[in-house]
Amino acid sequence: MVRKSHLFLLLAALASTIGAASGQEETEKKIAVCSTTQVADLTRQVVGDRWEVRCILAPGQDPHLYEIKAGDARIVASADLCLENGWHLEGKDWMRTLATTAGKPLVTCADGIAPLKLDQGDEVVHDPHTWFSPRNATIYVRHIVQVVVKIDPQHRSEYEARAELYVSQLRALHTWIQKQVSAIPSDRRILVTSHDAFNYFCREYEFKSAAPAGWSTGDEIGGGVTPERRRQAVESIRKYGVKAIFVETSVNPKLIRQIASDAGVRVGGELYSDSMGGPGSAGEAYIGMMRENVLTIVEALQ
Amino acid sequence: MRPLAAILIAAVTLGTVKAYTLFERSLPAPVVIANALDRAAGKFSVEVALTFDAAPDDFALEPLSVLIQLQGSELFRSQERLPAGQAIVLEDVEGVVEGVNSFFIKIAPAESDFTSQRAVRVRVLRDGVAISENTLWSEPGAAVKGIVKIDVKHASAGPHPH
Repeated sequence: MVRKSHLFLLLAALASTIGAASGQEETEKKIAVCSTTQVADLTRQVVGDRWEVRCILAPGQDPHLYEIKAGDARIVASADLCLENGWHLEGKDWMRTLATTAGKPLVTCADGIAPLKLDQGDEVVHDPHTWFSPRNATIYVRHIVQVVVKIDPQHRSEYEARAELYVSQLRALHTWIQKQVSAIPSDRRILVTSHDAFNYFCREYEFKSAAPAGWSTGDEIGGGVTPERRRQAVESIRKYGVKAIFVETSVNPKLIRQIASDAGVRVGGELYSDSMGGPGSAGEAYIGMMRENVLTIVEALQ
Repeated sequence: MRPLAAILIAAVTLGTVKAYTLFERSLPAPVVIANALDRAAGKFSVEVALTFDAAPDDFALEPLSVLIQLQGSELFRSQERLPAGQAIVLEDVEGVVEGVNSFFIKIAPAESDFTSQRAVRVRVLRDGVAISENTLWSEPGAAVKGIVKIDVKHASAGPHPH
């Protein structure tokens, strides 16, 4: 009797081991590791639940200032694919460093976008804040579809169907933004923010931009706050009679509050910039982030 | 000895089942052949007249300015900018059958102005005679996108455009 029960247990264990192994084979997800919250969200829109999407930056973190942490290499080591924004948004190219060190394929989502060139004396820098135009976000999606289809061709039609639907939502977002900003008279379309992150948004929707800090909050060429930039920002606010200026979720608001006080203008609200919102916030996904920014801008400037 | 034999038999049985499952999954999906339809007699052509400048679509996976398909098969595609007033004429269109034919047409506007709806005029001709005329409209700011359906009868019965 004892022998029989042992035998039964042994068989059950064997069967469950084989079952678990085959089940794992079927449900094991591929892993995409993204540098920024925007890239992670756009990737999720394409891969759905088919992949696991991990993001190095947490909501609210500044990609310019981020420094690699001990656990990051472990996350990247698990990746089938790494994705970055690129064009040095990731300060000192930290995502490239992580992917290269781990020997993982890396896709730069900003590649192929018509860059806004920022003249920084001897050097010309490509403004990396490309996602602020839904038109450019479509190019991110194209890159993502291309690479995931290459890695997992079996589910091509599924990835393409999701991406098709999503880019149509980006088109709807774009026309919605056009309609919303049309409520702001053209002479009031001046966007003053903590750092120079909204140039693509401004180009797309016919705003002028001004910021006390350059394209990066870090110390790259053309980045950071200079007394000259600060002075110019205050002058622009006074000269154009700007109604309101904006702080950014991923940048310390202190400087903008000081400038608002110096220029005698109010702070119109907080904009999602280099990082999206946390789970449960309106800005936790790209479209929600853009919608909230536009509503904040229109309410403050119209 | 008996327990070992039992384990071995169980492992072989489960392994065989698993191997069969994997083999079955690896087989190519069966090809479903649609009911064969009779090809319609005559020469068919399609004319699409633009009333706006067309340009590669910035909000699509593939930036095409024009895409025309018949029953899902591509007849014409372009990534070029095309001026308003230009007509796209496709002669000797292959694949028109007796019965219902669906032409999918997508034209992307150069300007995505949210206030404007755009239109294109689509004509399908059989032996030089128009058998269908339709106007497709876009949503404001979006590409013109739609399906033109024509019911092609046997040559002696004459066409019945929808």
